[in-house]
Amino acid sequence: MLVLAGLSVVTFKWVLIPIRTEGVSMLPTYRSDTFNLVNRLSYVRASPRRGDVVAIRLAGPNVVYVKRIVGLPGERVAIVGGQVHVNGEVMLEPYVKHRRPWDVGEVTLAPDEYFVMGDNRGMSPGEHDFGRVDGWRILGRVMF
Amino acid sequence: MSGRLAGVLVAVVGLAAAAWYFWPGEKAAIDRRLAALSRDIDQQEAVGGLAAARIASHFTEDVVIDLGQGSVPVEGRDTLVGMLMRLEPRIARYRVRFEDATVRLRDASTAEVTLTAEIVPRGSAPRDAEMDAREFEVMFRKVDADWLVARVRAVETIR
Repeated sequence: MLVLAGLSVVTFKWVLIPIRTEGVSMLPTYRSDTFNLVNRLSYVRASPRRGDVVAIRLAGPNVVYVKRIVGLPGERVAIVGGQVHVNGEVMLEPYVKHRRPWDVGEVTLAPDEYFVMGDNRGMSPGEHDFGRVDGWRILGRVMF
Repeated sequence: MSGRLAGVLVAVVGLAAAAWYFWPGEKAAIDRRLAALSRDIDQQEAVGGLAAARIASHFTEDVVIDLGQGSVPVEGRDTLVGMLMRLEPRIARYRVRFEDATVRLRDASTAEVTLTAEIVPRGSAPRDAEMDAREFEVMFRKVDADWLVARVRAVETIR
């Protein structure tokens, strides 16, 4: 019993981190007030990939942003009329159901930078946290 | 020579003991200050202008608060009181919780803290009000035995 309890503590503190999503920026993929798990081992052997939904740490691991990776290190990312362009090519994003005509000038990502966005592009861009994030802040991939 | 070595050893052990005794207490004092600040922000709706002064009492007279995103930094406790009074109806719609606070003591009178501020709508907030979270770097300074907030800088986690 004690071993099981210890194993649970280790698992849910350092490996599979439980999170509760708040807010609408990931609609319709994730609704507000739903639970999920972050796998902290997902990027031990591999790097984050485009399309992955990841948890991004702020000052620590207890409060995180949940965002989708749209741009990888070294890539050029721009948003034109609401469409994400990566290295000049329009990116297909079937998970985006609501879209406003956002425009963001092209940025070139540094060697350890990713471009992240929420799936809800129907918001005003001023209300939506998106942009470049340092790779070390990515805690892991959101599992479900 | 051995006497000198013993003296150095005693000094090192003494310093270590002082650090062990002194630092945790200072960190706890800073944690208490953050908890009190959070509590005063939460309680402000009932007491109006007095609340602004009470919140501002957690800051040094020459505090500088830089919220980033192109905003002009707030400089000075008096400016902070004025701003809090102006924004009171809006601020009163939210609670603030400090999470993931890491305290690093620079010296006996300066400490740096990184933390996440969770801004949570109260029941009276508009229906579309959302929880928000922002990361901050905070510098504390010890003034007359009290740890007060001297600098606040918003960190652009996603930029």
